[in-house]
Amino acid sequence: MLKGSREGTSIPLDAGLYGASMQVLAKDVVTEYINCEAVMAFFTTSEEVDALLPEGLDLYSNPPNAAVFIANYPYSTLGPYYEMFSLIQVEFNGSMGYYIPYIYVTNDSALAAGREVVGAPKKLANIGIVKENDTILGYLERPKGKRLLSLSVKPEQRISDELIESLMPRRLELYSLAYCHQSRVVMD
Amino acid sequence: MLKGIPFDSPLYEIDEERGIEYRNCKAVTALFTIKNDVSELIPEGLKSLGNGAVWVSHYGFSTVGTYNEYISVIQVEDEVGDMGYYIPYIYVTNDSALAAGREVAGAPKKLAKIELTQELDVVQGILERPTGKRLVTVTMKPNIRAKELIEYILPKPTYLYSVRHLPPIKGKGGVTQLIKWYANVDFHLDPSGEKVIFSGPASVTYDSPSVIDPVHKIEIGTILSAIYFEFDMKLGFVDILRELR
Repeated sequence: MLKGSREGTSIPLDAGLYGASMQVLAKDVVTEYINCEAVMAFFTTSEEVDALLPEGLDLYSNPPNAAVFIANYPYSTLGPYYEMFSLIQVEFNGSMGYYIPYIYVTNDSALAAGREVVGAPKKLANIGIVKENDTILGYLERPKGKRLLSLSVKPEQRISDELIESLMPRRLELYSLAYCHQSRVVMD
Repeated sequence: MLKGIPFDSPLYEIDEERGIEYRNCKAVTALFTIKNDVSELIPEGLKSLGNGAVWVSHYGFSTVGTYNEYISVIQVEDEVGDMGYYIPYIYVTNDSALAAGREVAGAPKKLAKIELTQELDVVQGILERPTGKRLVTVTMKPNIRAKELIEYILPKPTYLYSVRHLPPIKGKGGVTQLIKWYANVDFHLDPSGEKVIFSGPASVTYDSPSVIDPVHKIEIGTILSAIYFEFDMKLGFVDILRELR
């Protein structure tokens, strides 16, 4: 690609925004996260969310299930950041998974990697998790001050492993819509 | 329209006929000879002409939002003989601009702290990433009208080149392309009808070099010209020049 320099997995190729630039030393091209915390809520929603799904995915249940998730990643190989995403529970080839119609982050590496590699439709936003008294509040604002989501949780008891496994199996299938512009635009 | 994901609320939408439109912008740019060999930074299909430039701008309004931008460029010639600028490094302060630049044109944008300020008799542009790690400082004293230089530095159109790279997933779906695009800069006129373009003495320093953001790889020889100007602008796309491997 470039005539000479060390090349990474993303542009700028000699100083990539994401991805290991010395891949021969990397064990695998994965993103790793350590010491994360999150609040999440599962709920039933309207069948109208079917209109948000791409071809090939179907709603998994009737009524459909959905979720919102707000996380703090204090360390990752993309840098520290907060993330919020919405999920719609779907079925693909007989398996349960989640489609991501909306996702927000606070970090440019995470934004570009998500959009360019897996098609996660990330935007930047103001996202936070606040702990006050007996409640944990996760919030999403875009722009700052325009509150789009408040998710408050009072964590008062352990949740069963069976319930977690049914909603979020260890290998969670996530779906998003990768898209590459092929348009050729000719100037006048 | 070119739309970015999510499709029901795109991060950016670009009218293919009108391009990306900018109003009420200001910028400082310095053109200089490049002291070192930068051929390793340039993709196949382009030839360095030996000059480089840095650009720090504020866009008061654009169809991808309000933002500041820093650009390092290398003056090049393409295979049909057009002169333009290859963009090895570019930074912005806005997610729409970042995603549109990377996904449509291949501009290798990152987010950074970028400021264009005026203090005393000096215009100053800075780039920091992360905040506090000063990568570039451009200072200039805009005290001379500079209209005679502009056709050389910013002809209309000004061609721009970048490498669009979307990584493959398990060997499928990736693209790497040399993209040719352009900027049409319309300079503001002052009340006497003159273009708002000033030149003057300038300095460009790479204050604290970083291997993570190696803008210092384009070493500064002699500053040929520095200008401060106010303008409107359109960005559009010319063609995919070649597929790269």
